[in-house]
This record gives sequence, C-alpha cells and structure tokens, in this order.
Amino acid sequence: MTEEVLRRRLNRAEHKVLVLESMVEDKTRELYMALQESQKAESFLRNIAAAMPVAVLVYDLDGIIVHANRQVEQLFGFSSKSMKGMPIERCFVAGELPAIIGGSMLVPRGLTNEPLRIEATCLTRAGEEVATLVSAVPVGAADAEQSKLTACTIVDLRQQHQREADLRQTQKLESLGRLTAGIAHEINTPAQYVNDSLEFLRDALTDYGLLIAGYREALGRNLTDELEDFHKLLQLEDELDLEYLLEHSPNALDRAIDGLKRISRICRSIKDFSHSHSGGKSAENLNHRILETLEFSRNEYKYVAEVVTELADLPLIECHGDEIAQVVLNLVVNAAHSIAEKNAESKELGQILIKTCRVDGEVRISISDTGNGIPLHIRERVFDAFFTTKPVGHGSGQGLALARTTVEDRHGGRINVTSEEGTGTEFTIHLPISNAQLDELL
Amino acid sequence: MKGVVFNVLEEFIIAHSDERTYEEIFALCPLKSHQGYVGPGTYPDTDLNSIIDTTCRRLGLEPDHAVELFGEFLFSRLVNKYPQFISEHHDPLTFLKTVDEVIHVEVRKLMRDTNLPSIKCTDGAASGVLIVDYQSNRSLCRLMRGLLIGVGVYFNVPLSISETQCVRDGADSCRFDVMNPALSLEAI
Repeated sequence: MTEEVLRRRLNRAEHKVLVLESMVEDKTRELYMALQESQKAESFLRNIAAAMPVAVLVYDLDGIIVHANRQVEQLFGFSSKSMKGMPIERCFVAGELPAIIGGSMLVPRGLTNEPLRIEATCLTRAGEEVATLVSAVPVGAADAEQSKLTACTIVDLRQQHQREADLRQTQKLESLGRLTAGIAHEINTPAQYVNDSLEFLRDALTDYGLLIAGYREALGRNLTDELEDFHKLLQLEDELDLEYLLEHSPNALDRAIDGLKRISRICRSIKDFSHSHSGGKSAENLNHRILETLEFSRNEYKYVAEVVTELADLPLIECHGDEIAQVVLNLVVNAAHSIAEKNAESKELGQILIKTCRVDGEVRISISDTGNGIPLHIRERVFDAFFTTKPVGHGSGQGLALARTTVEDRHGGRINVTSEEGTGTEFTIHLPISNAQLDELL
Repeated sequence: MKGVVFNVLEEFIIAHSDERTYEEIFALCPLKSHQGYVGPGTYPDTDLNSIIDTTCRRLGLEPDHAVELFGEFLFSRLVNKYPQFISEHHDPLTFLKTVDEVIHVEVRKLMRDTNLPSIKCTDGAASGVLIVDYQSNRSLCRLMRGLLIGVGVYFNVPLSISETQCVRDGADSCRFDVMNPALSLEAI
C-alpha cells in the first residue's frame, strides 16, 4: 500500500472518528432530553395518581402488593410503604376476593383490558369494614414484568352511601310533604267525630247531673212525699230524654275511642314511614308495612279508587322496611293518578289491587290498577331517572327510578311492569328471601 | 442508505481486489460524501450506486451479478454484527418471516430517519415454499436475491430462489419464490 493510499484511509478514519463523536454527543443530548421528558411525564402521572381520590394497589401474580398510592393510608390506615409486600387478600373481607379476581390466577377475570368493577368490602387496619367499589385491570404490558401486574383502584363508598341514604330520606319526606293535606284530612275526619261525641257526652253529663241531683233530693225527703217526688223525677227524665242518653252515651264513647285509635294508627304509620333507618336490614312484616302505607295515604286514592288487598301469609323478610314502604307508596300514588286521569269525566271509582305471595325463594308484591296504562313507546323508559309524563311541578320522575334502585340495588330483587293501554298497569316487586331465611323456613 | 452498507461494500471490494484499488475507485466516484461513512449515518443512495457502477467497470464485473454477490457478502457481515436477530432461528424460512416484523421494527426504534424496504413473506401453496415480496424505491432486487442466498448459506441450506416478478418489468414489487428443498422433500 502506498503512503498516499494510507494517508487517504487515515484521513477518512479520522473524519469518521469526528463524525462518530458528534453522533455520540447528539445521541447523549437526545437521551438526556428523553430522560427529562420521561421524568416530567412520570412526575405528571404521579401527581395525577396522587390527586385521584381513590386508593390504587398494584399486585403481582402471587397477589403481593408491589405499589400503593398515598390514598391507601386514608382508606386502610396503613402507610403506602407498609402495604408493599402485603398480600392483597389482607385488604378485603374474607371470601370477597374470589369475586374480584377470578380463578387461581390473581388477575381479573377474562384477562381483558376492560376493568372489572364490583362492590366489595375492604378491611381496614383497625378491622373496620368499609363498602368500596373495586376495579381491577391488568397493567398495560410495557414489558414482560409489568404484564404480570394487576392494578386495582378502590373507591370508598361511605360518602356515596350516606348521600344515597340522605336522598332516600329526602324522598320520603317529600312524599310526606305531598301527602300532608291528605293526611291532615284523614286525621281531621276522626277528630271531628271524636269532638262531636265528646260534646254530646259533655251535654249528657250535665243532664245526668241534674237527674242525680233530683234523685238525691227525693231520697232526702220523707216517704209521704214519695209519690209526688217520683212523678217529678219521671217528668225530669222525660224532659232530659234519659232513654236517648242511655242509648247513645256508650256509642259516643265507642266512636271517640275508635277515632282516637285511628288517629293513633295514622300517626304511627307516618312515624314508621318517615323514620330514617340508617342501620342494616331487619326482619319485616311486609303485609303490615303495606297496610300502614295504605292507612296514611288513603286520601290519595279514596276518591278515585277502591283499594283491594289480597295479602298471603308471608314470613318475616330481611329488608329495609321503610324503603319498601316508600316503593309501595310511590306505586299506589301513581296508580291513583292514572285512574283519576282515566275517570276524570265519569268520576267512576277504579280499583287498585295489592297482592302479596311467596313463590319459591322470593316474595312478590304486585300493585295493579285499572287506570290508563302505559303507552308502549315509553314503557321501557318508566324506570329511567327524571323521566316523567306528568306536567311540570307534578312529578320529578324519580319515584320509579328510586323504586328500581331500592328493589334491585338495595335488595338484590327486581321490579317489572306489564301494562295495557286503556286497561291498566301492574307492577310486580320480586324480593329474594335470603338463604339463611330459607333454611329457617324449611 | 445506512453507512454500515457502505462500509461492508468497502470490505467487499477490498476482498475482491485490494485497498489501493478501492481507493482508486473511491477517488473516481462522483460522490456527495467524500469523507467516508460511519455505520449509523445515512448517506445518499446515489453514492452507493456510483461506487458499485465504478467498481464493476474497474473490475470488469457484470453489475447484477456483482450486486448479488455483494448481497450475500452483506448478509454474512450483518449476521456477525447483529447475531441476536438470527441466533434463535434454525430454519431460513422462519427467519425470513421475522425480517419485516422484528428486525425492521427494531431498526426503526434506533434510527427514526431510516428508509427500509418492505419485505412481506407469505407461505406458498406448496410445502417448504415462501413467497417474498420485496418493495423499495431503490429497486435493489439483485441485492435482495443476494441477501436471500446469504440466508441459505448461513443456515447451510441450498435454497432455491426464483424471481417470479420484477419492478424492472413493470410489476408493483419484486417477488421471489424461496424454496427449502429439505422441507419440500419432507412433504413428499
């Protein structure tokens, strides 16, 4: 090789070194910028994760927590650091975990990227059970290690449940508000005849007093005047119409007692209805709840419909009795309105039929009416929140939505409707009897 | 074209002549980049064509045949530089299927400005036959054929390669039927 050839090759080699150095510098700068961007993005995501009002747990295939955000401290009472390495099972009430993560693999069922959402009870450090909404989804597979992780977000439902309870209570009070005039009328009617009876008895007692005074006076005289006194007393009895007083005084008392009992019943049913049961379910006599509801809402239907009840013997059912009563009230009032609308001109009385029965593992309450029925095109929407066909100011459209929430979400039952336009509508509530109750009943 | 191809071309020319000849060829070429090539750099395709043309004239080689030989040579050097893409494969046809889906994807990650050809592979109707569609604005189908030969050499399989259509004849892409005789015999 000549010197010239070597010189050329050396020149090119030196130039290559310069180009490569420059490339290395460029790549280093690019790498630095990329790192900066990556750190910014990571910080951004971390800030978002920290700002989210939900607890986030990431766990591996063995169910061991590998990441926990700051919100876990608020929910579980453990620091996020101390939760790392903890089994995910520790976070939930025993037996609820299989519902969240299916099979033997600690990953959401189906392994899809669609998050699985389920209500589950979390167990805090202090042993408190907290209702939560849990979503679990496999972590996007950025690399092989990450593909084995599952991200679990946990939302504390306590506030939401409180708001729902407040809403239910508000609904009840709103119903009572709407029924106030009718309830006042219902109380006023017996109060009126209690008053009439008491006025009658007051006058009667005055007359009894006069008679007793006459008897005493006669007894105080000697026997020679006996006949004359006797005639005077008979005359006084005639004047005061003693026979009438003796005949009607007990009736007046009966009416007064009956009226007071009725007032007492109405007051008790209102009290039961409006009482806020913040606790869990209790064993309820549903027939009794239905009759109570009919008692204080009588004024809503008595001018438009005859209410017929066919209530079968039912076992005590574990439920939120006040909430079921609210559903029955909404359905009865709706039935009365439908009948009133249909018979606005004829003024004929329609019929509201309420039946209860037990079929296998459930109790059914059906409320049917002879009203207008629900047009086919809106039948699917009647349970939608805020859907109403009533004029503005006459229905918020929440009654049936609340009924469905109460029956389906709060009791695991279902509510359905059948209707024929111009003939009437029937709502049927299906309430499941718990396995424990079924065992007791068998 | 990436600098690595220019550098392998230099090796190829020197292997068929000597360094002085290469320098003479290099000096004769009307190049845009006279100061040499570095592997990760990107250089004009016209430089590559110019070096090949000048080499063929200087060494009296038939251009298509020379490019084919260069393709085979290029493959052997690329295998030495990047063994991770081929070491897990035991069969040439299976490896070829990964060129577009794996190797080119990785190259694009490292070099965003790269202009890679499209190499689509589909199984032929007969067993042991792979249809390779090569598409590139460089139209280096001879180089592609050489690369395919290089694949066979690497796996020690005498691949039968026939070009059934070519862009130089007006086709949309160059198509090669690549047959692995061993697999074809197995099917029989």
